[in-house]
Amino acid sequence: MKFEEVPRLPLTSLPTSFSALPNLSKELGGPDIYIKRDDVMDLAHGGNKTRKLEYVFADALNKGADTILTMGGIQSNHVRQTVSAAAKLGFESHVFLNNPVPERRAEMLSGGNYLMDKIMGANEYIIDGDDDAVAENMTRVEKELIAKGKKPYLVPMGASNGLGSLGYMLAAQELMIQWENADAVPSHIFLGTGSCGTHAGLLTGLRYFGNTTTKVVGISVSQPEEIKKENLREVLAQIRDVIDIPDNLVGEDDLIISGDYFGQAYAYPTDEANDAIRLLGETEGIILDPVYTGKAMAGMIDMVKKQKLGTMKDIVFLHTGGAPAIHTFADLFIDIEGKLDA
Amino acid sequence: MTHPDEKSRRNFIKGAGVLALATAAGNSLSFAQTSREFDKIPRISLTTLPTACSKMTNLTKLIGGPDLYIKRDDVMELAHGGNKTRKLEYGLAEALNNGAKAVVTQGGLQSNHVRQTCSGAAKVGLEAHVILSNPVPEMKEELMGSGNYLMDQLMDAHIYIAEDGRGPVVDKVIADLTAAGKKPYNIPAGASNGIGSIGYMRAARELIGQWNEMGISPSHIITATGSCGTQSGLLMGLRYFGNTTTKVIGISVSAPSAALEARMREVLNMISDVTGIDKNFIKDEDIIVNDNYFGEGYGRPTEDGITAIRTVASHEGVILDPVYTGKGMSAMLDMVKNGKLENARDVVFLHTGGAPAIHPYAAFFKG
Repeated sequence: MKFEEVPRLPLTSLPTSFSALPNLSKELGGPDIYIKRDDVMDLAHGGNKTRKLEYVFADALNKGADTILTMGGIQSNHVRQTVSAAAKLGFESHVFLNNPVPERRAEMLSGGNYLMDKIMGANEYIIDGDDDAVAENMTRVEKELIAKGKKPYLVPMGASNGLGSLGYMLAAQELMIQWENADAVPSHIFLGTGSCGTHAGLLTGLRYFGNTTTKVVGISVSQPEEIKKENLREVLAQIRDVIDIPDNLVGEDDLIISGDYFGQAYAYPTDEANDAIRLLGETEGIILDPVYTGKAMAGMIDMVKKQKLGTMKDIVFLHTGGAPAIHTFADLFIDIEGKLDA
Repeated sequence: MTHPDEKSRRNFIKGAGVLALATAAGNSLSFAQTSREFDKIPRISLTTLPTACSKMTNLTKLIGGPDLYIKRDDVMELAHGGNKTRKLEYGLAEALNNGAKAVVTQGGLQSNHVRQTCSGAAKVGLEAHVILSNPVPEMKEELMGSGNYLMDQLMDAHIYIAEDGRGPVVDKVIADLTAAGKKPYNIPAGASNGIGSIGYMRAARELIGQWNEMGISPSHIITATGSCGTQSGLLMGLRYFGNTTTKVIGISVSAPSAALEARMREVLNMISDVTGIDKNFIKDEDIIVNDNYFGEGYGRPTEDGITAIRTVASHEGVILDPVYTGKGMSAMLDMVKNGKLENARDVVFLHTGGAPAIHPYAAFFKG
C-alpha cells in the first residue's frame, strides 16, 4: 500500500505550530533554535501520540472494534491520549499500567495522567511487575472481553508499531512545508526517543518526502544507544511492512541516538533535565516534562554548547508533550513555603 | 449530512451581519471593512488560531437534546493554554508599546490567568511579577502543591503571596518597579479590562466564521464567568461582527448574578472606551448571567461540577476543571436536559481552559 492510501482518522487540528525560540537561542549563543509544538493538540492535553492514534484508530474502526486495550507506565502520556481518543470515538478502554519508579508510587498515583485516565472512565489495571507481566494480564483480559462478545483491539506500547509511526511521516511532511515557509533549513531535529515510533516515522517521512539533509537526533530517555538503535531498526522495518518504500530509504548511518542523557533509568529525573525544564520555562514560557522532553532538551543544550554535532543551523526541537506528568514531580521543583519576593 | 436549512441559515447569518455592523459603526461599512478597522488594534500573536470548534457527538446522544458543540480555547500554546491567551495578545502588545520591562498581575494560587501571563511574559521577554492570594484556606497545601502554581515557578515568575488582600501588595510592587525604572504594566485579575476583552471580540469573529462554514446558527453559547472579560468581549464581538441571535449565557463561578451583570456593564464600557463602540450598543437584556451553579463559592467544587467533568471526559475525551468549566458544563447539561434554554438549537460550550488546576483537586475524583 502507498503511504497516501492508508486510512487516517483526524483527531486534532493540524498543523501544530512551528516557531522560533529567540530567547533560548540567545541564551545558548549557538544556532537559531526552533520548536515544533506537538504538545498542543486536542486530545486531553495533547502530545505526540495523537498523530499515531489517527492511523491506529482508523484501523480499529475498520476492523469493527469497540474496545481498546493498551499499556504503559502509570504516568503514560500515550495511555492518556489513547483513552481520550477512545472516549471521543465511543470505544470502551482498558489500560494496563505498571510503575517504572517504585519508590515514587504515591506521587505517580496522585494526579497527572493517571488522574485523567480515571476521569475519562478508563478501566485501569495496576500491574506490579514488568512489561511481560503487563502483556500477560492484557492477554487474559482480552480473552475475557472476547468471551463477553466485545471486539477488542490492542494498541501497542506508545502506539509505536509500523502503522502508528505513519503519523510521524505525516508530521515530517508538515514540517517540511513549515520549514520552507519559515526559510529554515534545519541541519538537525532533536527529540526524546522511547518506544522509537516517533523517531522512526519522522526519519522515514523526511527521506520519503525528499529531505535528505536534516539529521534526526534521538535522545534516549531510558536505555543505552545500541538497544535503542535496535528498537529503531525494528520499527523502521515495521513501517516497511505497512507501506511500499524502498528498503534502503533510511541508511544505517542515518540512525542517530545518544544514550548519554537518560540518567539512572526511565522516568528517573536528572538534574540536567530539571535545569533544562526551568530554562525553557524562564526563557520561552514553555513547559517541558521530566521524563521525555526535559531529558531531550538537556541533550540538545549540551550538544549545542559543546558543538558535538559539527556544523549546526536552524536546529529544531520536537516537543512531544508530556507536561501533565510534571504535577506528580512537583516536589522536585516547588517551593512549598512560597517564594516571597515582597 | 448537510442540514436542510443550512443554506438559509448561512444567508441569515450573512444578512444579519450587514445590519448589525451598520448599527455598530453608524455607517454602511462592510464586514470586510469593519474587520480591517478592528485589525488595526495592536496585537501580538501568542498562539496559533483558530482553535477547534467541534461537535460533541456522544454527549449530544447521551443528553438527547439539541446538537452540542465545544470551542477548544483550552488548546493554546502558552503553557497549557486557556482563554487568557487571547486577552494577553492585546494586553502584552500594549505593554511592549509602552516600553514596559515588567508586567504585574494577580489572582488566586491556582490562577490560570497568572500562569498564562507568566508564559506570555517569558516569551516576549518581560519580567513577570505576580501577586497570589488563597481563595480556599483549608486547601493551602494542595493549592501550593502543583498545577498552575508549580508552572508559575517553573517560568521563574516573581511570586508574592498576599495573606491579607492583594491590593496593597500590588500597589507596592508597582511602586517598587516604577522606582527601579522598569515601567511596570499592570494587568488586572483575569486580564478582564477593555484592552484584554478585545481578545474575545476577535474570538467571536473566529466563531462566526466557523459556524458559517459548519452551517450552524447556535441559539446559545455558554461560558463560565468570573472576571467577566471573556463574556463581555464575546458578547460585544458577536454583535459587532453581525451576529444578533446567539445568546451568550454566563455561568457565574463565584458571585450573584446582579453583581456580575453590573461588572459586565463596566467591562463593556471599558471596551467602548478602547474601541469607540457606542456604550448603548449592547442592551441590558443581552447581558445574561446565571448564578445557580457555583455552589459555596469560588474555587470550591460542586458535586454537579465534578459529575459534569466525568461525563464530558468519558464521553468526549475532553478534560474540564473544577473551578470554572466544570461548573459551566454542569449548568449547560442541566439547562439542556431540563429545557431551560428557550428554542435551544446548536448549543456551544466555550472551553476556557483551566485543566492544570485539576491536579490539586485530585482528591475530589477518588473512586
